[in-house]
Amino acid sequence: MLNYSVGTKDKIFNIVNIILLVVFALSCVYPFLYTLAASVSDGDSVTAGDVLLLPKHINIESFKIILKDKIIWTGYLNTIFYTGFGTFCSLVMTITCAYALSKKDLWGRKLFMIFIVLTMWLNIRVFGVIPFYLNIRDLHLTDSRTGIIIGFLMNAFYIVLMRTYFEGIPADLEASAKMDGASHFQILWNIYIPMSRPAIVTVGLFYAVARWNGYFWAMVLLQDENKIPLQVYLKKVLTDANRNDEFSSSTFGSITSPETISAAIIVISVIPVIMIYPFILKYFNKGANVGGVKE
Amino acid sequence: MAIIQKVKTEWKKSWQLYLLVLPTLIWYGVFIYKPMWGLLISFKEYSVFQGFAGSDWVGLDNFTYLLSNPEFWRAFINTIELSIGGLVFGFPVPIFLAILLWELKHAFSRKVIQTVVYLPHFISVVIVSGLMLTFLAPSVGVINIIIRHYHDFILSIQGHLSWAPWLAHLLDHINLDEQYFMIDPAWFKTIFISSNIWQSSGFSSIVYFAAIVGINPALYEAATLDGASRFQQIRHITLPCILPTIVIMFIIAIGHLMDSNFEKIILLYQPATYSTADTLGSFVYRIGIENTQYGPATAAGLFNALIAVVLVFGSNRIAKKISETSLW
Repeated sequence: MLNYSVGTKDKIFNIVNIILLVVFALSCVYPFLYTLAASVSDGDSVTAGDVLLLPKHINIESFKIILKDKIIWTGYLNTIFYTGFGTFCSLVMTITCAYALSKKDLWGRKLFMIFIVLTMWLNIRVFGVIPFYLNIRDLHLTDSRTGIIIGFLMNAFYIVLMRTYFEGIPADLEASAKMDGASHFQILWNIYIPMSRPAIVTVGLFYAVARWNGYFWAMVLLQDENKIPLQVYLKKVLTDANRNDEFSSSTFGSITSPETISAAIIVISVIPVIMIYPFILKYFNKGANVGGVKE
Repeated sequence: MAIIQKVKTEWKKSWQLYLLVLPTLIWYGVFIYKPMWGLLISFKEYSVFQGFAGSDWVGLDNFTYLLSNPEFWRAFINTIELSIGGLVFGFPVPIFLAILLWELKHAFSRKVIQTVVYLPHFISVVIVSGLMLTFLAPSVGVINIIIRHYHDFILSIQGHLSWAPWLAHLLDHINLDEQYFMIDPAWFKTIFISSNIWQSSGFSSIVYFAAIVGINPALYEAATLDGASRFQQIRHITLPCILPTIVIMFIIAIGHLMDSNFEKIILLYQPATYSTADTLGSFVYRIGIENTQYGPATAAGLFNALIAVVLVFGSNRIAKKISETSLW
């Protein structure tokens, strides 16, 4: 055994530590950097394998081609609608329900909580795909925008998170408002909501990301091309193009290729997520650490 | 009737609150609990025209059909292999990552790395699958390009290795050929599990990192004064202090063992790889949604759920016994 001093050992530890972290971090960003580079390179360079990190022969033809595609725009708008309106509805339900459940003297509160929290384990959408699907069909909500919005409103975890946050708000604020004759609706609107902004934004962002990324149920429930969200369309282009290579013969040897087109599609669908990502982290740190996940 | 009287007085006292909680309860009733009732389709021969109520009871027919179906067993075994593989290789990674992050004392670099490693969690399953197909594509995929470069590199140096035949031999052995990964059943599990680790480890490390932040700094100070090395500190302070968190996360992971992320499976698998890729989730989707065999598909889901329930309760009980930590 070599006999290093404590200082040297410490240095080696630090170096190994940094190397491991940097390797992991690079593996997390590299796919995105590569995709960005491929999306603005010319098709032949990508097909030949010349693009590994930096773009070659920069051009934006691939973007021009996909932006001409009508269905991608429809998909984009649908996704914006499902994300925006869906998140709004989810938040209204989550906030109102969490507020009521944060009142310790509400009779039946424990029972309601069990009713809701149990669904974290009895996940019908995982183990009961068929009954869930048939239920939506019996309610005549297949192939409908309403079905997508209403069928996936709640997430028990966020109700619990929100309730925990509300419970941390001092009770004397509410008591004095009540003395002035305020109703619960007024207390919720004027005291609780303004005071819980970080938690509300955090929960909202998580609902929104789930909506933006949601794929499986939209694929199962929607047939009409005018209603499908971006992810369903993406799947068609990305996986099918890669599998049967029908694209490649038609566009081979040109400035674009199936690879650059796939890359461009990935870029335009990931950009909104990357843009709100800093906000997610900012509010997540505030919201979750103050009242949420830490018991 | 005392109970009705009670309900009446409580309603009068806090009807506003009940009004606020009611929509959510109704939603859970209609969209989550009502379909649970529908799990009884497992014991029926479901007819589209007669609906749930009109369909005939067939006892355990759907289950015997499944148990005699080799595809079901293949899916069952794949589910178990993928889950256990995912747990064995995937569970320790976020713990390891959280410790590495904690040991990085430079606050800004730590923040940057955290920001980067959480990112994959927020990317949709469709995009991740698309990235995988792109990276693993034959000949033009990045992985195959790297393999090709590595080949060329080995060929170029092999001529200069006559002085060390053993080294040339060794290099030959760790050589990987270019291939079409996604149609090779032998690769599916490795690819699937690694991509899950890639996507979730960063975000899962948050919980462990929060637990480490909560450790009393005096412990580390005392250890440093006693001359404990960084490794010893990890081994004797960090790990024991976050053990309760590890146990809880482990129980939760066991409870989700049977989920198997079927969304991603159906995006990535194809008939050529069914033999190693088909899981209970994808099997249910294929025979249920695609082939409309509702009875057997529901039965397969129920079978899956029963195992999951046993796993949740079993692991919780074991955890209670050995470490006095449990979910409830």
